[in-house]
Amino acid sequence: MISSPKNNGISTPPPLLDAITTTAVAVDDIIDPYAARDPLPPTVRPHDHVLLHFADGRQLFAQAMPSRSRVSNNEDDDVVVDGRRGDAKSSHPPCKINKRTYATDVLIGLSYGTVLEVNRDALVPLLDGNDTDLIPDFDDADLSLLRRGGNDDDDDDDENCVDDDIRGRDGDVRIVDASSSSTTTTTTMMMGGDGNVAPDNRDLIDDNTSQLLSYEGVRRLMEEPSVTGAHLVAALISNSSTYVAKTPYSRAKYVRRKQLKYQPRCRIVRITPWTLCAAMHLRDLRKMSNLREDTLGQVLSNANVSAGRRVMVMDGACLGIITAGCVRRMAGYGTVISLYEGLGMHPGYYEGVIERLNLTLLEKQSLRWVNQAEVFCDRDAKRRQVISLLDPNTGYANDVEKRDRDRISWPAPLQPHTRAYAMNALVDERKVNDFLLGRSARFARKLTRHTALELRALVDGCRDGAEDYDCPHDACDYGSAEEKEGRGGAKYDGVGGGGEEKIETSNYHADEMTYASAGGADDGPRGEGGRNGGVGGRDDAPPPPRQCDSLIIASKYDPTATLFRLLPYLAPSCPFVVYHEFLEPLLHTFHALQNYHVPTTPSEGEGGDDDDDIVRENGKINGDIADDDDDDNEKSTTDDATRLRRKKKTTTTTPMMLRRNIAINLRLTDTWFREYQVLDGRTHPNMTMSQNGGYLLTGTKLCPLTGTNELDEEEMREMRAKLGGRRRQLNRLRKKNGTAAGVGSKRKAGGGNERTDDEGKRRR
Amino acid sequence: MIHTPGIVARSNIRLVPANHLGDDPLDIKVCLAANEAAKDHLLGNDRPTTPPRKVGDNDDDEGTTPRYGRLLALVDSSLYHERHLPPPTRLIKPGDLVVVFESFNDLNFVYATPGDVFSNRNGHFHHDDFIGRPYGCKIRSRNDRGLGFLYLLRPTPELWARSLPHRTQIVHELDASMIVHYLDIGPNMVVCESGTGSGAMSHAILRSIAPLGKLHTYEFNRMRVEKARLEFEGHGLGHLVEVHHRDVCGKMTLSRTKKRGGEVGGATTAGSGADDSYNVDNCDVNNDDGNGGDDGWGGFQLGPAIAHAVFLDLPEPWLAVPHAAHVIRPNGRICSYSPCVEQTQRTVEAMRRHGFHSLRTIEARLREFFVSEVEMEAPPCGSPPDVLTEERASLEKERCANGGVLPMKSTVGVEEGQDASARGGEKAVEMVAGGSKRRRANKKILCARPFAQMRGHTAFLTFATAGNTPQPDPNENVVLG
Repeated sequence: MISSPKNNGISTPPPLLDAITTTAVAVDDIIDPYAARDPLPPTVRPHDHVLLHFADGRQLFAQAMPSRSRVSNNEDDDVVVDGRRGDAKSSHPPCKINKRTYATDVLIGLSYGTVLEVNRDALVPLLDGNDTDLIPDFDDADLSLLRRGGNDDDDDDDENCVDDDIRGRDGDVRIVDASSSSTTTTTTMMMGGDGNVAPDNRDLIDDNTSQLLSYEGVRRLMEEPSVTGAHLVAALISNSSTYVAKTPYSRAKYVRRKQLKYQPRCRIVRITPWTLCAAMHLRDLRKMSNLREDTLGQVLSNANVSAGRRVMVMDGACLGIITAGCVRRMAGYGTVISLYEGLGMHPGYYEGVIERLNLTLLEKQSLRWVNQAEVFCDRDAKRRQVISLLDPNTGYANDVEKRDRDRISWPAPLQPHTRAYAMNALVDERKVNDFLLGRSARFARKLTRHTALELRALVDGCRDGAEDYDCPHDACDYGSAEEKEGRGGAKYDGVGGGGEEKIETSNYHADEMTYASAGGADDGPRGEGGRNGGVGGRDDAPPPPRQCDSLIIASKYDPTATLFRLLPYLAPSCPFVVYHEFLEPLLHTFHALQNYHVPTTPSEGEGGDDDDDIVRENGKINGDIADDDDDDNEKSTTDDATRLRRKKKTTTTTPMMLRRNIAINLRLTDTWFREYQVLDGRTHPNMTMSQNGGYLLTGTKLCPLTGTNELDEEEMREMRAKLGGRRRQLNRLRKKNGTAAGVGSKRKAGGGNERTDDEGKRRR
Repeated sequence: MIHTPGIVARSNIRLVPANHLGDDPLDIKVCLAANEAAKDHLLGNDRPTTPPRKVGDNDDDEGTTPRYGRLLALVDSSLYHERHLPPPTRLIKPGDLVVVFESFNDLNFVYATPGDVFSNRNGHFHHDDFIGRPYGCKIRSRNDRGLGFLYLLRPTPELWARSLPHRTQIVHELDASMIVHYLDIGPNMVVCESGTGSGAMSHAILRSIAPLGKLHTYEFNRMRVEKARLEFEGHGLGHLVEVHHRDVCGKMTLSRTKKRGGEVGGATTAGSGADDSYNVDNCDVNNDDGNGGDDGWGGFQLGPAIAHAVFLDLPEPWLAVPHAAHVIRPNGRICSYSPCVEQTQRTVEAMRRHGFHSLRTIEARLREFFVSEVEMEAPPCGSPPDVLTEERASLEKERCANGGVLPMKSTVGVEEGQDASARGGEKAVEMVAGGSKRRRANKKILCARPFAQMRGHTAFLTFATAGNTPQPDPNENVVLG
């Protein structure tokens, strides 16, 4: 039995053991209920979003809302009502088809794939097996019979309900019940070689007078309550003077066209990433940067998104649809960090998109919305902010938001003023219930929300503090926030800027540790070593960062600058994908990645001629050097030209085998995507096709700082001695290239980035 | 799998007894409202639809009714909602599969083994040099003064597809991504695949169905089956996949009939109906195997409505469609991968006959771009080119008359003229830009064009959705001769 602890402000969870043992619930189910459940629910549940696919290609979103009446039946003295009635959802958009609104409660409980007939006032599911296709069956036999003047009984019946003036010009209105079950389909009938069927169009006169029913007549028929869509279609066909003369194929086409208009049917389709993307693409492709559904699939595959990963997505340009795809591919295992743009807490667009996937709690909780400023802001300022929050007693950051959240106890006893309000202001029983429901829902949301500091700890825990990449593309160098302030917010800051923040690596980690452990944002194991609750964390070595396993960028910001800024958050040997609507921005990204080399560390670069330059210029990579070279750095920012020259030097003179690329396996692609009509003997590509679905830049990050080779230092030195300095070494290399079949010839010697347009040799 | 109580568990959102806060009617209402909110929040759209209950109705035995107990268990288990899988390792361990990136077009793979050496044209690479190093590192060869180098990457299905040993033609990465995407394959799903082939597609599917899904993959060639099994085990995917040795098309039926009844080939093929092009080639392999395909019935042998998705990569997929219709769940997705239009047509026809709807045949090609920085040279803008003046025309005439040689006197004039024009040209350029600036006038722009060659065709992909009416097991209709 459940013991019932009375209200003391403290909420103890009720012991659940008894309840569980009384019912036969498998232990596994208790630990992970979703594992045992069908990952795709077979039927539409209340409040589920679905897609309605029409035969004419329209795709509409709908939400299965339980009907009002069901709730109001027991409304009188009920306390427990439909939980969501209290939500602001009551004003959900109704399902609107052909300018009519339809109740969507019929969808509840239907299995996906069911076809609905769109009647005048309701959606009617077609459940029995006979005529349940998206295109209604149509039997030509009845019509041809009528033409020949047979079937008089039907004629009389129909004429009773149809006014005289809707007859055609020759007074020959025929209405047949085409919905009467028939097993032969249109095509087989027409292919079957009916005597009336014309072989081709040689006698066709296309002067737009063949339809004997007038527009007004059709309108009047449509308003007639007893006339169904099937009647209308039959009437139109039997009043078409040219129908008989049509070829079988054009007959079928004609019937189909009429059916689409007057007998609309739709199919309930599950919302999955690709159906969602297709529907949104159909609706407004500019809003989502022209991301075609197959490109979305490529993004997810190329980024290696799967269960248990940590994925960083920035998809402001695509309305969050990539985020939605990632969440679905991961099903609640792992974490999706979605960087959102703008100032709002939760961009409404994203919410709308994400909501339509009917996510489970697990999936919702695996998704973390993080303001992009956490990544792009000035890190020094951020550090200062965190230090200002430190509690001198505990040594941890003071997370007010978290404190407030943890103070709430479930089920949130009423405070005196709320109680007074509920007792006095709300007289109506129903109003009280609604108020309490809304209040509880609010608390539930608040209790499960991550605080800003927790999210910050999560994001900062993804970054390897030792990595920092200067965006090499001059035009993309936007300067750090600090510089912006100094120069009155100038956007294009010339060369430098991006990487100028001086970060003392070890200190930074210590601070991060402090607030991270206080926040406890991520309960999962972080990094390989895990984390011991931050006890004495300040003095320990910084924890290994748990970098992301995939990085996906589809933002409105410059892809080059964005990517270089986000690369430190990506673990080595992990893929990244940059999507853009246009090709040109990605060209710059591609070029920058291809030509960017992480400078060699000083210990390695002793012998070379140019190493001093390299070290001085990029000393900030290494913490020790940063202090020594401060002056130099400042000087170089002022003297842009010198810096540029130096930079060029380093990229051109470092021999290939010593270069440290940050990315490899680079590929810039788009997809040619074509659909086919497949019919026996009539197979051909569709008449219209999508010409572009956006461009993708994919690649794999390398291990630039710790992973390069390597032979021992002594071996290196020996090697250099043999070769005699880098310049000579390079010359030798070049010479070798001249002789074609050398073992280490330049092109052959690895060099994954050095893709030449050597197309003949490209192995497929 | 590691389960850690997440923020929901810490927040104590649960179902509470109605009198949890006290016996005040308003407090009871608070508790009931909280329970509703908890159900909404924790179960979402999964929440069971319960008819509304009245307050004083069955208040006391709420905890005892099995239905309530189940709900409680459901809610409680939802609290342990953060499902963390161990993060992928960053370091190369002995036994790991490592993709060796030699160049963009040359990928290879090794299983890291201490003491082993990987050799290619760039040199000898000792495994000991990279075991314990992070994935994504670059190593240099030990011989040839370290001039050769390699990158070592953690395998992904895409990289694996480019480096794996080909046993058959493989499904390439673009098609693989389409298939996984359009089949809606996600974690914990059951997928059927036939045939296994080289296993490139299997790996793409396995990535998506981890951590608790199941892939049933079928292959009629015994050697491929064994190799695939070894591969999956070696890659740590054994728990997700079952490799069946059988022919899902059920062509074994034919050979069996043939053997038993001793009929001639012509009669057998006639009996098989649509299958007139069938050639009994692989019969011995199948028949001799006691393991798989021994009954010779074809099909997936899993029972009805098991698979969320079915992928067919077969020479005659239409033969497998009836079996697929039986094994697939209602509204499940199917894909057939065929290079030829004729195959696609027959498959589409079979799919229509067996209750599949929303058929869609697509073809997708990857266009890769070649990126290059192109120097744009400004067109020359100097003096106008020489025109034929009176004087020069007469000179020319003279030259022709002279047999192509000009008399000494007139040559000077021509040279002078040329000099003048050349000087004028130079001047003009200098006036425009001057000295070093002229170089800068040549701007560099980044350009891209598609590579001149692309993979023109792989296959037509036909996707369809299974209907909701259950399809019979085709094996029930088969009568062995």
